[in-house]
Amino acid sequence: MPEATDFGVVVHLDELLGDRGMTLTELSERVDVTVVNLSVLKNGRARAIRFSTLAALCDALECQPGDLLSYDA
Amino acid sequence: MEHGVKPTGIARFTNIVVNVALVLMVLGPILRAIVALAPDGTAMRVRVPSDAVSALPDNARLAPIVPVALEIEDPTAKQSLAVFLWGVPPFALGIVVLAFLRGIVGSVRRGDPFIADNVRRLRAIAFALIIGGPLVQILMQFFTSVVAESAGVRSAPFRLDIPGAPPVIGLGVLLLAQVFAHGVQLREDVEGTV
Repeated sequence: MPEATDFGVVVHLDELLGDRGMTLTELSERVDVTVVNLSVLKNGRARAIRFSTLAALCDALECQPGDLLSYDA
Repeated sequence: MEHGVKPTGIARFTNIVVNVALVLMVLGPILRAIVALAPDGTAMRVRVPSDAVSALPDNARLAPIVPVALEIEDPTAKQSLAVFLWGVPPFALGIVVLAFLRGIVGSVRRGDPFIADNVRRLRAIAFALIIGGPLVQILMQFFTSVVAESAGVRSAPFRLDIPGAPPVIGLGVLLLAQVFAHGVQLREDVEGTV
């Protein structure tokens, strides 16, 4: 189970990458976000995500925002 | 667009002081101009060289308190010590301020000024000026009186100028510290944004 951020938002990037057989580096090249920032997002250390980044991730992973993010109160 | 930044108590207090000081700074010259242009017998004071006071006109006299430089030949150890100590407070204040400023300059050179340490440094500089400024003046006047009285000369009565430049500047630095605190918060928000 991925770790929730400080705000209780859970990022399911690992699962999505695993399902699609994609590495973080490949995703980084597709969405033009650094591996470091994707790692921050994956490990629940991000404080905010831009809509542009979210849209690019959903496009690259062919998913909806709700597939990528969930909320764990 | 509001960014939801609440004004802190420090910012509100400084805002009041700055506005009051601004009003006084504007009113002061206006009132002085009115008094000067409508003379009513009130005495006015000007600084002149000491050798100009040998023959004063009828309508001019020396002010009750005239600061002069006192030369003491063969000073005693106590007098020498007092003169030395007279110069210590302003240097001490300057060293404190410069030490903290050095830390800030170092962070700016590293390209990383918006850090919590700089907020603390700026607040320390502010309090050093707000409290240290008047304290330096008190100490300097004390050591002046020690030297003067040891030479058998009655020293001038104590006078504290409020507000002096250091406390006002200190308030400005305190406000700057608050600006940096907001900068630190913004930086944390940006750094965590993907």
